Formats: sequence, structure tokens, C-alpha cells
Amino acid sequence: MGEKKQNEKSKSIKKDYETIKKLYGEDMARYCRSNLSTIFEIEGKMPALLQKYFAPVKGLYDELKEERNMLDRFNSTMMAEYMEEYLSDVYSSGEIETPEELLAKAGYDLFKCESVEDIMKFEELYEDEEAICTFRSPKERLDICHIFWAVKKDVKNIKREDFEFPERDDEYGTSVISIQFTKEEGNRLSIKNRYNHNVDNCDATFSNCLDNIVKGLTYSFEKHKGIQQEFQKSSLSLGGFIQGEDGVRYAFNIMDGDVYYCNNNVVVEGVFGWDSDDFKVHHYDKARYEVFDNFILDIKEKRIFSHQGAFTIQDETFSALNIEKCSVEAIKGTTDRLIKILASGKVNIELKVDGRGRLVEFYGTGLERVGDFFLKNSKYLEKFDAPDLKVVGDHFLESATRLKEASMPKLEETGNHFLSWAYRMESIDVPNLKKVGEGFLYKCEKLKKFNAPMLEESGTKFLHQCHSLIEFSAPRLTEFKDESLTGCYFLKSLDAPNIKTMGKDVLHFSRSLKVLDLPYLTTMGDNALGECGEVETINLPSLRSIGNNLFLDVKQLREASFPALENVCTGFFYSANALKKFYAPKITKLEDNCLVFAWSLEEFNAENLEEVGESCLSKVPMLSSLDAPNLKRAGAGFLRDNGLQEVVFPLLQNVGDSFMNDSKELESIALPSLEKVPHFAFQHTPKIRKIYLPNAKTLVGHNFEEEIDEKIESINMTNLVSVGYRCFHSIATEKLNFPNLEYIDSGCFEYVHVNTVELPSLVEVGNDCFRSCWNPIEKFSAEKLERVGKRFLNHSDAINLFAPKLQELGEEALTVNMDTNLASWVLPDEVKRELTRRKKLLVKAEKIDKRNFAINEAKIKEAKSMPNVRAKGTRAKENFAFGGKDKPKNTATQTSQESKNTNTEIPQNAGNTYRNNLFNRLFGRETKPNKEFIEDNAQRLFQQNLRNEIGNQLSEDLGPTKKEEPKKPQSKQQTKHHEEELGK
Amino acid sequence: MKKYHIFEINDKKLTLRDEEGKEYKTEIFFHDLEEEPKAGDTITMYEGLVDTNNSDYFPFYEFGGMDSIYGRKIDSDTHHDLMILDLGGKEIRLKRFYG
Repeated sequence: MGEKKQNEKSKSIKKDYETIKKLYGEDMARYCRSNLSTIFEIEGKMPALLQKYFAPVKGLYDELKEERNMLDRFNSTMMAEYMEEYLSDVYSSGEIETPEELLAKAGYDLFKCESVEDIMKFEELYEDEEAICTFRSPKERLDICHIFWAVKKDVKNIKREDFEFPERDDEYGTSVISIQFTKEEGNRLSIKNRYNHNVDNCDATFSNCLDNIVKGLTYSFEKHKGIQQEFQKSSLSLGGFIQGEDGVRYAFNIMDGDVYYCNNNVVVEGVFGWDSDDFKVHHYDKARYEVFDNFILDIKEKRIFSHQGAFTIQDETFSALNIEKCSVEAIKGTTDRLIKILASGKVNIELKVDGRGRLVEFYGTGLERVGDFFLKNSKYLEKFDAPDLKVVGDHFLESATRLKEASMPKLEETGNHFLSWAYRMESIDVPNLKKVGEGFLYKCEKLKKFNAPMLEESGTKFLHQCHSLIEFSAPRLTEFKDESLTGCYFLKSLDAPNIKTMGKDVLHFSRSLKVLDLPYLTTMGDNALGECGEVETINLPSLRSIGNNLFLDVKQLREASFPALENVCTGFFYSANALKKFYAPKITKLEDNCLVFAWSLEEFNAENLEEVGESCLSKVPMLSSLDAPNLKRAGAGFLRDNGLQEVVFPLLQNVGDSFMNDSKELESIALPSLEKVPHFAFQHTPKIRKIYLPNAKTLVGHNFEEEIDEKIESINMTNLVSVGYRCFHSIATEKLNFPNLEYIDSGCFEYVHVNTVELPSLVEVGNDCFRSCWNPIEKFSAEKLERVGKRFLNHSDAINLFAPKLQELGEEALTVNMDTNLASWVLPDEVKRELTRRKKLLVKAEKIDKRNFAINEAKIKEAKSMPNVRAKGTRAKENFAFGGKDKPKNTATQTSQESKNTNTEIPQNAGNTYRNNLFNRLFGRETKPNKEFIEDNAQRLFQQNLRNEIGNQLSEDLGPTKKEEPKKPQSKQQTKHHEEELGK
Repeated sequence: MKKYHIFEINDKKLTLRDEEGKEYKTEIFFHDLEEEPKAGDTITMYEGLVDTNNSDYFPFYEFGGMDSIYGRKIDSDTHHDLMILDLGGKEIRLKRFYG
């Protein structure tokens, strides 16, 4: 190209660059010059294309960049526009170099792929983790695409490790590119990147525009390869832009209903639910009008108004001004403007507006009152100064998210939602403020101090979620309405001594508050002071009534005194871990879940308390003093897991399940008025010694269950009529005497230590009662007893048993052993006959087994002397020794290899193991039996229980068939065989 | 992510219907599958893939095993490269292959 033409071209490029820079900002100009250089070559083309799509606005590049893939879409659209026009010009000229020639100029070699082998040659140029999926299915790809590869001539010098931060169109990413056109769909182009999926939009290298590689390449492919592309324009819908009926996208500042206030004095009027094709675009003449935020200043008519849309709420303040004088001045050195307004009543307003028509500063003297919705949409406002302002209406500066400073020293009264969402405001000075509405300073997250010495009245959500608030002072305020000061995590200083009432969630999450001094406070709503973990001191002498979950999770408070408190709702002091003393002499009722998990609570004083809800005072292991002498009713879980040693509730009539459950220190209980002991009450009370429940008629179940360490000295339950499931389990006492007890449910009195049992009224007993008693029962007297369930007195020794009316015996009830003196048992004749028969069987079985035992012992000894050989005939013993599990078959000899793999060694303590396993198996106990007990009683157990087992088995076998009974041996050989058979 | 029913499938060409009844045509190569999708099965995938105005749109796509080297690592159920196939009650996850 000649020098003159070159100069002309440079000038036109520079001119377009400057135009774009002026209209859209320098970043946009730079971007277009770098990425759309092809278009730049045509004078005026790039600015024209831009203006076709976007109304001038500075910062357009940032807007495009922010939206995902928008820059690519922008590129492809611009190129599509350009190509439509360019190609029609080029067609007429006819001459274009081949793609190989053009790409060679750009430093590439071009290869066409006709076969799978052609494609696979390029695989080695890719890193393993970055291979393109063309290599996965090359044949299928060839079927649907024309495939080319362009490889930089110096590809060997372009190394992956030199590109630590991959970018799609960088030197490495574009050093090997696969250019693929679909055979259908208008030859759609995709340029594959050498980084593959490790960069964004990897299949759109060079924005899928061949002319971005080298100019003319698109047409060259068409002319020389016969591949004509269709160009796609993408949707350029962008957040913060509205498209008008002219197709242009306008950046808007404020959306007020269906009206969009844009920069450059443009207002787009949308129609709700209609397409943008119908959105009217209004250009306000800059000579007469100034559009700022959602206002239009008519300089000629001296009025301020808003564009009327279907959903627009008209501002009352600006429109009511009687403007005498107004002007608009540019601020030197900036694109900002200063609007000056002089209105009647000595109102003097100055508005600073930025280059995009957004109100950034407001200064107004003489303005005493503003109406509802004043500057409601002014979200770019940074500074507000109105020294004479006294009254503001609702929604004042409601969207001022960028406001940093606000000065209204004379402000006395506000409406609702005053300065809500002013995120950035750090301070506000309102020394004369008296009354505020709802949502005052809502979510002013950076506000640190609030001081309103004259404030008397506030609304709901007052200073709600002011996360940074540290100091609060409103000494005249008498009420905190619902959700006031909620979420003020760092509030440390609360100066509101005259507060009388608190609504819901007031001071909820005030995690830094240490002192709560509200001497006149009488009422608190739900969740007030919830999760105030740091509160150490409270002074609430007048507090009478509270809502739910008060003082939830307070972790530092040690003493709580409520001399006037009468009503308490649920969750009061729930999880107050540090609380030691609680004093509330006037409360008569605690609702559910009060004082739960008060781990440190030692003293509880509520002398008028009559009723408590569920789980109250549960998990209070340190509780040692409980003063509630008037308690009459208690819900489930009351006093569960506490540290009391003695409990006396003289008036307590009704309690819920699990009462006093898990009271590890409890020694004595006295509940003279209680008639029914509910489920799990007094379960896990190992130290209990004295039980005084004289009027209790029913134990429902699981009462006094689990191993009690101490011997119970006295049990006074003289009126007890029925005992439920698993009561008095594993207790120890001298005597059990329940004169009125008629019925015992299953599992009661199991594993007890007792000498005497007197149950004169007992009629029926369930299963497993008095089973496995630890010591012999000297006397068991139940003269009316008629029916007993399974395993009654099983494995227990009753020396004297008096049950003359016993008629029904459950399975395995009243087991006899060799030592049982049936003569001392007073039972009906039939029962006694049956028991006698059983004893005879036992005698027989013992003789047989004694012999077998001796044989097995001998064999064990023999086996021990031959460690690598399993002894013959020891299988039965091993079965017993190892719990009866199957073992490998006996072999006479084994190789040393086999012996390594099988367990042939008889353990040293086979005898003890045998006894232990037998004990467990027969007794069915999960816990390990006491070792001393086993050793002392092994012989007796072995005899007694094995006999029982064999005896039962034999008694079943006695009868006409007797199939399995071995024949009597007639020779030594047969004897040996017989013994072996029995041993099995 | 949006759910589409496979209304028709012919080799790799699919006609999909969304839950509003709108139809879309696309071409998808499935890799690493024991069983090929058929009409009546459902696909849950990023809706931009069938939106011709979307910059991610292309006439055909390839999807394959989650461990494959040809695509990105998928770390959430809303990843744009994730596809969830429901083949007659059997759910299979695939990821988009690039290149």
C-alpha cells in the first residue's frame, strides 16, 4: 500500500478510535481495535455499528465483560454485520488468495484432513489432558464436518510450560487450531483451541471468525474450498440496558415501574408484558431538559417532573416546588453537572449529577419537609445534606445503597423505611429526632453508633441488622417494637434505661452485649435477647411477663434474678450453660423446655411454682438445691439428669415420663401425693436408697431399672397395685413387701438381691420375673399367686416358696436343680409332682454327664501333649469351648502346612472358656459374668444348668419313640463308640 | 439445567421436548454408554445448548464419561457441562466433551 494511503488509513483508524473513546470509553475503543481490527479498516464502520446496537455510554466494555461470553457474542454479531456488507463487496472484486497463502502470512501451515489417519497425526501436538475429542471419534467427526488443521510454523518453540495462565487466544492456544465446518447447518464454523477445555469457550477460538486470523480468510475458504459460511448474530441482551423500538440498547440508571431513565436525556417507556419492539424512546432536548435519576428538569418551564408511566409513583416534593430560578452548569475537569434550584420559601437546592445523569450529591437549605417516596430511587446518591429538614415521609432515600454521609441536624420525625438499605452509611447525626416509623435505618450495615437523645417513639425493625452497630443511645425511648435491634452482632453498649416493653426478636443475636440494665422493663416478646451469648449481668427487677425462647443460649450469665416475673413461656434459659443460680419467687408455671442444658445450675428457687412443662430442668447435673415445695404437675423429662441427692415434692400429683431419669446422685425420694409413676421415671438412679411413694398405685414401666450400686434401705409403696415392664431391675434390698400388689408385668425383679419377698395379694406375674436372682431367696410368699409366666424364678434359688394356689406355669418357670428342697415348697400337688419328676431326670442326666465330662477332660490332656494334631473325639469339647461353631473336620494326621492354616491348638484355658461360654449361652446375658462368681460357682453352674438343658432335652425324648437314645453298650468297643456318640 | 424428553431419535439427531411442550432439535454423540438413549428417555442439561441465540450453542455436541480427559471436572449438579440421562429409570451422568 502506498505511503499516502497508509497515512490516510492510520488517520481514519485514529479518528474512529477517538470517536469510540468519546462515546463509549477508552476500554471499548481499545478492545474494538484489538479484536475487530478488520472492521476498523473501513472508515466510520466500527462507530456506526456500535451505535446501531448501543446508545453511547461510557463503560460499555465493563458491562460486556461482566456478562458470561458476552464479548464473544458481541464479536460475532459485529463480524456478522460486517461480513454481510463486506462479502457483497468482495464478490464483485473476485480476487482472493488461497487459505494456505493467507494463513502462511499469519505464520500457519494449513492441512486438510480427509481420513482418520490425517486427523490422528495431530494428536501428539496436544498435552494429554488437553486432547480434543475429535481424536476420540475421528471417523464420526469426518462424517459431519470439513476438518482442517492450522499449525504455526514455529510450533516446536511454543512450549506449554511457558504459559502458566492460559488464555484462549494467546500464543500457545492458537499455535495449533483445528478449523471445522459443519457440512450441514450453513457450514457453521468452530475453531478448536490447543488448550481445549482448560480455557473458556475453547471451541470459539478467534471468536470463530476466520478474518480475525487473517483478513479475507472467510471469503478465501468460500472461494477456494467451496465452504460458504452463514453468519450468526447473537442476542446482545445485557443487564442494565433496555432495548427500544429503534433496536438500540440504552443503558438505564433508574427503572421506575415501566419507565427507564437512561443517560443522555433518554427515557424509554416500556409497556408491561410487551416486547421491546414497542418500547417508546423519548429523547429530551438537552437545551431545555435535564434528566437526572428519575426526574426531568424543565429549565424553560422551571419545573421538575417524572415521566408518567403506568406504574410510576409521582414524587410530591420536587413537583411541588415553586421554582423561581434554575440552571445547569458543567463542573470543570469532569463530566459532572451541577443543577441549581431556587424555589420560593427560601429553598435553595444544589444537585450534583454525574456524566451518566445519576444524582450523586444533594444539598438543600430551606427545605423543611419532604413527602413520601422522595429520592426513593436515588441509588447512586453518596452525600445528602439538608440542614433545615424536619419531617420526611415514607420511603425516604430507601435505595440509597451508596450513601455515605447524611446530615439532617434538625430532623424530628420520619415516616416508614427511612434510609433503609443505606449499606455504606457509617454515621448519622440526628440530635433532634423524636419519632421514627418502621424500618428506620434497616440494614445500615456499616453504622457504628446511634445517638438519639430526644427519640421517644420508634417502629418495628428499628435498626434491624445493623451488623456493625456498637453503641446505641436513646434514653427517652420507652418501647422497642418487634425486630428492633435484631442482628446487631457487635452491640456492646445499650443505653435505653426507660424501656418498658420489648417486642419479638428485640436484641436477638446481640452477641457482644454484656450488660442488660433495664430497670423498668415489664414485658419481653418471643426470642428477645436470644443468643446473646456474652450477657453477663442482667438487671430486670420489673420484668413480669416474657415470651418464648428468652435468654436462649446465653453462655456467660451466672445469676438470674426475676423478683417480679410471673409468666414464663417455652425455652426460657434454654442452654444457659453458665447459669448457677436462678431466683423467680413469683412464677407459678414454667412452660416446656425451660432451663434445659443449664449445665452449671446449682440452685433453683421458685417457691410458688406449681406446674412445669416438658423437659424443664433437664440436663442439670450440678443441681443440688431445688426449692419448689408447691409443685403439683410436671411434664415429661422434668429433672432428667440432675445432681440432686434428695427430692421432696409433697404436693406433686402428676409427672410425665422420664421424671428423674438418669439422676446419678439421687439417694432419697419422697412423693407422698404421687399415684402413678410413669415410664422411665427413676431409671438409672444407681444410688437410690430410700423410696417413699406411699400412695403410688402403679409403676408404669422401666422404673428403678438398671444396676443400682447401693442396697435400697427402704421401699414404702404400700398401696402399689401393679408394676409395669422391667421395674426393679437389678436392685438389692433385704425385703420386698407390697401388700396390695396384684400384678407384675414381664421383666420385673430380674437380677435382684433380696432375701424375703412378701406379696400377699399377688395374682399374676409376667415372663422373666425374679429370674436369675443373685442370692438364694430365703422366703418367697405369694399366697394368692395363680399364674406365672415363662422363666419365673428361673436360675434363682428360692429356699422357701409359698404359692399354694399356683395353677399356671409358663415355660421354664420354677427351675429345679440338684439342691432344690422341694419339700420346703408349698405348691399345689400337680405342680409339685411335675417338679419332682424333673428333679429325677436331672439326677439321671448328671450321672451320664459326669462320665462324659471325665472323658473329655482326659482327651483334652491328651490333645495338649500333641500340639500339631487335633485329638480324636475332642470335637464336642471344642464345640463347647468355642461356642458351638463349626470347626474344620478332624484329621488323624496333618501336614505342617495344613496345621498352619487350621486352628489345631487347644487353648490353655479351654476349661474356663467352656464354662464362660456355657454361662453366656444358657443365661443369654450380653454382659460378661463376674469372674469370681464364675470361679466360685463353676461347678455348681455346670451341674445345675447343663443338667437342666440335658434334662429338658431328655424329658422331651422320653416317650414311645425314643429314636435318638443310644443303645446300652455291650462291649468295650461299643462302649467307646457309645461314649463318643453321647459326647457329640 | 432443564429437563427434556427425547421425543424422537434418529442416529445422533434428537428431537427434544421440554416440559412446556416446546421442541428443540440437536445432534448429540454419546460416548461410554452401554445402552443408547431412545425415545421416551429424558435428558437434563444446560438449556443454552439448545438455544440458538446462546453463545454456547452449536449444532452438535459430544458427551461421555465423567472421568474422561476430554471435558472439564464436574463439581456440582448445576454445572453447564453436566448431562443427566434417565434411561428408563436408570440415571447416568455424562459430561460434555470439548474439541
